Amino acid sequence: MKKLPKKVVKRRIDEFLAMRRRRDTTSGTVLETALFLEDVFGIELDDTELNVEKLGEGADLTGVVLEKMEGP
Amino acid sequence: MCGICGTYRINGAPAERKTIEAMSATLKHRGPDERGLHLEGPVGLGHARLSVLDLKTGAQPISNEDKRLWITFNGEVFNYIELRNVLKQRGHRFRTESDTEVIVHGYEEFGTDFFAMLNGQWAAAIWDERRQELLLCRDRVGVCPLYYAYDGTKVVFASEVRALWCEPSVPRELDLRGLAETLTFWTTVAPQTMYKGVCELPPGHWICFGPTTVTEGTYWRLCFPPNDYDDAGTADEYAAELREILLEATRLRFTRSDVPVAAYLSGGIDSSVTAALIQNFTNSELKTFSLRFGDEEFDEGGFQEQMVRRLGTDHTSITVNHRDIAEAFPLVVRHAEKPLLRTAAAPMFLLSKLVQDSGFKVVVTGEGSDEMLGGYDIFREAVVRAFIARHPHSGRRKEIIQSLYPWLQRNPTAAPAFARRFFSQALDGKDLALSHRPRWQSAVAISRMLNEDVRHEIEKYDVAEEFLDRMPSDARSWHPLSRAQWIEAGTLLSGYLLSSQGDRMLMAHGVEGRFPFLDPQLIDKAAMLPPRYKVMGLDEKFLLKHAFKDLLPPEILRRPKQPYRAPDAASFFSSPVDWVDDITSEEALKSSGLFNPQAVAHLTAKCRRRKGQGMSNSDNMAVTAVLSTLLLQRHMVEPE
Repeated sequence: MKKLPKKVVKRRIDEFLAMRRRRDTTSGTVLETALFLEDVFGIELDDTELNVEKLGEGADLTGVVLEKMEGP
Repeated sequence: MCGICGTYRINGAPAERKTIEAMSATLKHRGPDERGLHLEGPVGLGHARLSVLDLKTGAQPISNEDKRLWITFNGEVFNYIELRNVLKQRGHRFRTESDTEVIVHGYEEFGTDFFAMLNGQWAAAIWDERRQELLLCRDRVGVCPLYYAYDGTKVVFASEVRALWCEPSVPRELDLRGLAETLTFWTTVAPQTMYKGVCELPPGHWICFGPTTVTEGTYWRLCFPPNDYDDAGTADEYAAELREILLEATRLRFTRSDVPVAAYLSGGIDSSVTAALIQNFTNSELKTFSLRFGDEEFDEGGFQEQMVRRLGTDHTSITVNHRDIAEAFPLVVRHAEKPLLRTAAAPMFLLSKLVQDSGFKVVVTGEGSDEMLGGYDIFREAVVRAFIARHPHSGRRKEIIQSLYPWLQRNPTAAPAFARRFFSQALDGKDLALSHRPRWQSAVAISRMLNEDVRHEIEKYDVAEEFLDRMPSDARSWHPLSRAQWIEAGTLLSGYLLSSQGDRMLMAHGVEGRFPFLDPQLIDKAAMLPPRYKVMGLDEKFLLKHAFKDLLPPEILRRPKQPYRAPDAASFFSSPVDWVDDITSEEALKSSGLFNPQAVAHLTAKCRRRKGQGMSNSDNMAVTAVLSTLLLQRHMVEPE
C-alpha cells in the first residue's frame, strides 16, 4: 500500500462519487465502494467494515482510507 | 482494403502465373475493382483491389524507383501523407499518390523499423529482388488478415486461407489443435489456424523468408504499466487527452479516402461518439447504417433512432430475423473460415451487404473501444474476482455479483448456475487469467459434443497455459484489469471481433471498416490509463463517458452496456431449415467423424422441441459451434 496525500485521496473518491451520482443508482453501494477503495488505494477491509455506517452514502470515505494508510 | 496473395519458390523454380491468377480470383470479393500481378523469377505477387485511395494510379503490385522492391498490400496507412513528406526529404521519388508506395520506400529507407511508424491497418508482402527475400507483415492488432504456408521449399501467402489451396501442395485438412483453441478461447489464436500446415501471421509481427533463412520479428506489442504505477492525472485531464486523440484518429479515418465514407451507428456509446466526432469534418449529411433485430430481445433500434435524430444523419437500417440468420449462416462460415460459437457475425454480413448495395465502400465503426477502454463485462468480472479473491471465504463479498449482474436477482434459475461457473475456479488473485478462466471453462464444455477419439486428441493440448506463457514477463505486476485486457486483445479482438465478425463480414461485400479506437496513439494512451478510469467501481468505460458526455444523449450515456448479440439456437430451430436437417442427420454426422451423433441428436432435439427459445448459454454456444464446424468441414475442407 502506497501512502498518498489527503488531497489525492479525496479527489479520487470525489470522482468515484460523481460517477455514481451520474449513474443514479444506490443499490449495492457499500460493496462497490469497498471494491473501489481496496482496488485504488490498496487498503484491506474486513467483513465487519462492509456496512452502511462506514461506507454508505455520506460516510467519511477519505477518513477511512487515510486511517488504513496510517495503520494501527 | 483488398486481397493479396503470392508464392515464393525458394528452390528457384519460376512462379506460376496461373496459380497467382487463381489465388487472386478467389479473393475477388475483397477487391472487385481491379486485379494485378507481378511475376519475377521465383516470386509471384497477386492483388485484388478495392479502390479507396488514389483511384487512378494506385494499382498494385508496385515497386520502388529501381524496381528492386515490390509490394502487394492490403489496407490503409492513414498517416501516409506525413510519411511521404519525410521520405521525399530523404530523396525518394514517388510515382503515385497512394499509401502503398509509401510503404515500399519506407521499408527501403528504414527496414522493418518502418512498420512501427505506420498509423493504419494493413497486411503486406514485400519482395526484395537483390536479397531474394519475401517479407510478410501485419498491423498491430490484426485488422487485416494474412495467412501463409511454408514447407521449406516454398512460401504461399494470402489474405484468406481458401486462396492458399490454389497451390496444390498446401494441405486441406482440419487441425484439431485449432479446434482445441476454439473450444477454449472461442477462436484460434495466431499463428494457429483451423488448418494443418497453414499459419496466421500474428498481429504486430513480420516474417522474412530468404534463400537459406527464416527470420521473424515483433515490432509492437500491447503492454501495461505496473499496478503501482504512479499516476498523477485527474479524470478531467485524462478525458481531455482522450478526446483530442480520438478526434484526430477519427479525422484521419474519415477524411483520408478518395471515395465517400459512411459510419455504423449501433445505438451504443462507441459508434455514437465516432459518428458525432465525424460531424466536425464534414458539411454534408453523414450516411449512417445500423442493424435491427426482429427479435426484440436483441434490438437497439430505439437508441439508434435517438442518436440519428441528435446527429441528423441520413440513416438506413436493416432488420434481421431468425430466418435471415439461418439462411446466411453457411456463407458466413465460408467467409469466416473458422468455427463460430455465436451467430453474431451473420447480421454483420447482412449489414455490409446493405452498405455495398447503397454504393459505399468504407465505414467508420466503434470496434476496439471496449477492449481498450474497459467496456466488457469480463473486465468488471476481473475487478470483482480480485475483490473476492482477497478474502475468498467471505460470504459478504460474494454478494457483489448481485450488483455486477442485477438480472441474477430476477432469475432464480440462472443465478446458481452462474455462481457455480463464477466461483468454480480457484480464486487466486495472482492467476494471470483470473477473469478469463470461467469463460474458457464454459467453452471447453462444448467438447461433450465431440466423438471420443477427437475429444481425447484435443485434450492433449494445454492451450490455455501455452497462451499464458506468451504474456510479457512483467504481466504479474499488472493490475488484474490490464491482464484481462491483454488476454482479450490477444484472443477475441484479433481472432474473432476483427476477423470473423469484422474483416471477413465486411470484405465479403467489398466494404472496408475503419476503427478510430484502434489508432496506435489511442491504444498506447489507453494502456497507460489508471485502471480506475476504465472500470470505476463497477462502471465500465468511465473515462470515455466522462470525456464525451456533452455529445451523447443522457439515455445513451447512462444505459448499461449491452453486448452485441444475435439469436443463436432460435435462428436455426424456430422453423425448419433444410441445411440444418441435412448436416445434422445421423449419416452426415457419422461421415464427418468429428461429433458424437447421439450427443448432437440430443442437443438438436432439445432445440427443436423449444424452437430454440430459452436455451442456456452453453446450449446456444454448443449448437452454433457444432453447426459451424460441420459447415466448415463440408464447404472448406472437403474437395468441392
